Amino acid sequence: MKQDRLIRAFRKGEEWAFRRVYEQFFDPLCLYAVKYLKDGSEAQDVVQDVFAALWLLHDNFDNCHTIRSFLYISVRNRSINLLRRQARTIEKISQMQQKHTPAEEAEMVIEVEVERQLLAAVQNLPSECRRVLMLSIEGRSYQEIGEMLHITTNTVKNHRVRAVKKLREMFRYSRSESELTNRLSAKTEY
Amino acid sequence: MTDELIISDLISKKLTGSISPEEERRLQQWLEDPQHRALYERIRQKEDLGKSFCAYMDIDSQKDFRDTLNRAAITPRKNSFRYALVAAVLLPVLLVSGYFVLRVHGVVDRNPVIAHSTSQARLILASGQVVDLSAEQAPELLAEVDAVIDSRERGCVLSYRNSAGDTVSEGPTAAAPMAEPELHTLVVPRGVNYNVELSDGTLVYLDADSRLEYPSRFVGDSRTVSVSGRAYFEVSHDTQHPFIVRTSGADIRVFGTEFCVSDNGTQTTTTLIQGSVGVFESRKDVELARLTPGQQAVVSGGHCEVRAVETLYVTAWKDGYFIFNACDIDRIMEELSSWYNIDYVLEDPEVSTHITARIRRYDNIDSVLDILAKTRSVNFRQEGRVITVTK
Repeated sequence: MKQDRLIRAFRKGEEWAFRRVYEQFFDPLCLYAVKYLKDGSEAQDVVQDVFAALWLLHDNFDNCHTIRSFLYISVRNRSINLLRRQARTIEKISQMQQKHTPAEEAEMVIEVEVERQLLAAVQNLPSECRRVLMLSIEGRSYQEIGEMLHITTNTVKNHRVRAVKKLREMFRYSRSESELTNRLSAKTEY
Repeated sequence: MTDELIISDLISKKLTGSISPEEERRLQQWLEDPQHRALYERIRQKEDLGKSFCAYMDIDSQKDFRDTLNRAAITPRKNSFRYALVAAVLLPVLLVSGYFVLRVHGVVDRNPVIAHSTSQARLILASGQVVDLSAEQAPELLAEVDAVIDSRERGCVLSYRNSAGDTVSEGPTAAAPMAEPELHTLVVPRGVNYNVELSDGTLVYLDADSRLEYPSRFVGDSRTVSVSGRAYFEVSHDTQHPFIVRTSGADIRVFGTEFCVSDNGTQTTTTLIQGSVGVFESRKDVELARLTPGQQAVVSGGHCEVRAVETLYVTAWKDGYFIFNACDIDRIMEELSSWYNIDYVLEDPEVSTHITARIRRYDNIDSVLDILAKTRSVNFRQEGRVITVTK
């Protein structure tokens, strides 16, 4: 329901909704574009252009997943297009030659997106919960974590349970993704 | 692309332990591919997840946000962006590597850059639930109490304006009777300021280290709010419903006007900019003073003193400036400490410089201290978040 409100506001072109999306995705998308472009300022230019396009097309989106797909697809396409254009100038040819395999391309997205989600989720947790969660993501046991933070194993467990409960609420909305069709293909983005 | 994103969702859920059995099965299926497994392990073992988290928090994306809106309008290409762009992308890298260096050598960074930060104001609902107004979910949570965060020229405003009317086609809620007003408390910590627009259209600018208690919608004969710390009010005109500001030491009654209140627990200072206000003894019907524009009433222990002031100095904070008019360094540091969230020590309590200066509030504290050091014979030494004032 809460996502509904965001998307409704987004479609109406309300600035807060756009800002929300921008804040969530700007930095991750820059990191994603850098993987293609190997250049921070170009990457940020591409991402800004993509957000500008998103803002212009705001009434075309009816759920958060299409927005997310649009962002990743557009950043990838624009990055590749930019590389192509640059490849016509000699010095960039070598860069073009190291093409990515589809598997590598998938990895680039997954890495960025997982990190984005974890960071977003973790940001909203109380600090003790956060520390416990980060350590357990790194694969440490309750006991190890307890020793590191000087708290009892039970407290670690409690923090972890609280963290997971909160995270469940946050992640709930993305469950329906599988039922959604991806309305945006690479071609329809502009 | 959708596939990759679905997999990302599954991995995030898996790593945070919030995955469902059904999703777990799908993830395991995907992980059967050794290459996928390798990627998963790489993400999981990423030592620097926690650190990139810190880095993300420090990037100033806000700055570029305006650019994007402008770009959407005209799409100009400017090379001058580039510096900012490079900085924003490099910053996380620098922070992350910096963190590593420090961690390896076991050194604690003693002098972090002290900049004022924005938006960690919190709203406490009647239920006791605390909403971090800068959090992603804030707008959705606020929707439930009919409030929105509005970005305006002056920064973010938490607005209850529409809760009185405007119930346009919001589905079943439109038909439902209006909810009972709830008591909300906006808590603004040190280092931040925040604005609220109440249901009657009254605008309240809350300074750092302040709190405001108010109903989500005004009902009844009077409009009553309570404040501690410092607030600037632009009260909407409504003679039928007097606006009352309660502080620890006084009640202030107004009928549509602009004024500034600061209350530090023992002393309430009311400065009138426009209109007319009455200062009353706390919770009593005894009028201590009736102010005209340009007057300031200081109430302390039931005793009230009225004087004429230059309101410019009293309201500068609202417009984003520190203005000090022949101020003691003590007062100045007090002001800085609530804005930059620092502590300070006066090395020589006898330092009796009187400083006059007008300084932008949003700069980081270094520039502010630089300017202050130039004005007269004060100097500063910084250790962590403690500033020592020397001669």
